[in-house]
Amino acid sequence: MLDFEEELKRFHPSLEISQVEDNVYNHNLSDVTDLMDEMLKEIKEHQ
Amino acid sequence: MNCYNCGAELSNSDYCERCGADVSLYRRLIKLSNAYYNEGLEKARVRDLSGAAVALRQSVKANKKNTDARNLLGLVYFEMGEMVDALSQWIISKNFQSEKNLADEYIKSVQNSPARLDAINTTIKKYNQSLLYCEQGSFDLAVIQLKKILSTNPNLLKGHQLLALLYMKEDNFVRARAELQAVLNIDRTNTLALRYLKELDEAEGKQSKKQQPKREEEQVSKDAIVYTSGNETIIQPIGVKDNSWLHSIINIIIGIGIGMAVMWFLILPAQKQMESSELNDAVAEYSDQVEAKTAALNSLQAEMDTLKAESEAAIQSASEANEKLSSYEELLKAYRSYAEEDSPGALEKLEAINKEILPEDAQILYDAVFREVGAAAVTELYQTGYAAYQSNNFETSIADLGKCYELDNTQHNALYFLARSYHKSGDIENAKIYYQKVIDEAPGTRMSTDATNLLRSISN
Repeated sequence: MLDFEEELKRFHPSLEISQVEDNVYNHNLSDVTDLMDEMLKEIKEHQ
Repeated sequence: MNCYNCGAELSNSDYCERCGADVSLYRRLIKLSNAYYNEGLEKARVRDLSGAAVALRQSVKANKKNTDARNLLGLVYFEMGEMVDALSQWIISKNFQSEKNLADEYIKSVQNSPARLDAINTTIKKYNQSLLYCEQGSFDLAVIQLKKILSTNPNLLKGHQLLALLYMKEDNFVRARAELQAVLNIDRTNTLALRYLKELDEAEGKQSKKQQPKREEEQVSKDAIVYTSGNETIIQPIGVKDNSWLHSIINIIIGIGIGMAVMWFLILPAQKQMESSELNDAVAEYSDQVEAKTAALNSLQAEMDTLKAESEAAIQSASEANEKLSSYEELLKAYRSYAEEDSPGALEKLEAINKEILPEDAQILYDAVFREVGAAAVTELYQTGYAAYQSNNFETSIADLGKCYELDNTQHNALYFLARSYHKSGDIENAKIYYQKVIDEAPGTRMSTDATNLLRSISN
């Protein structure tokens, strides 16, 4: 049977509409291409 | 496709013709991102929103500039009731592609409905409040709040999930199942909802079945039809005649009966008691007022009696004062008559004086005048009285001799001739009285003997 308290911990407060801007700024936008670019740069620097 | 390094248009070569960067891996990432996007799109089309969201997140992770994937991800979030995440994805998408971007339309459609946006924001706040209620243990309040939220924003999946969890805690499996079914109607592979459903099946002792999405108003057994209406699950037995109207009438009649009974046994006695109490209070108040007025009346009566007594005393005092004054005046007049040697006049005035009310000094004066005047007056009265007797003027003789005897009761001669005057005047009764007085007061005298004989003669 479910542990109610544990299940309750899965639920978190939602962001309000006024917090959209903060959410966008705090969003991690780096993608794999960025990682690859960084890796290639590091490789070039080491060479 | 543009070079990730310099932005130049790429050809089929694995290297950028402008900057010479190796773009083979980049090409693969773009393809991978597009593949994830396609997968996400397929899943979204069959309402596998959870799966679509996973694929689309992978797509934008591979290529953050994949605006189609990001827009679709925002749309999926929007459908799941996650407005903030949806707007965030659309804004980021617009940042990467400012023109000819679907995100523009999505953002405008949201901005053009401020009332709807405000309602959604309110549901978010209430959802957070519900979570707070849960943390505080106020589960009933949380359930009420969540029901309100879902009536405004029925796509808020986590609201349905939390409500289902609360229903499961209360062992209200039917409602919990309805909430989970609502989740699955929006997101057919929602992992949490499926897990809760499995728990529900186990809790209800049923065999786990693969849950298939159900349409509303689906027949689940031969005996009953179960369907959901909003947040409620309605189980309607088949073959049972709907006679709810009869139940309603019976319930109304029972309600009226209970109401009348309550009125008869509780309200009316209470009202009567209240009226009786008010009446008693009024009577007590009136009694108090009557007692107060009676006491005031008695007090006034006593005061009036006192005043009356004082008034009488004052009148008596005034009368005495007048009398005293009059006596003084008479005393002075008597003295004046005495000084003028008018003894009868002085005596007459002295007789008008009430000696008792005179002060001691005045009484001494009164006695002195009376002594001097009295003797002369007695002699004079006897002489005039006797002269009148001899001249048969009995009226004068009775008056003068009577006064003489009155002034000096040792004047036995005056008493004798007074009796004779009465006798001769025909007043036998007074004659008898005064003859007897002569006999009593002057015994052994000639007058006594004569009086005895005369009394005997008139008595016979």
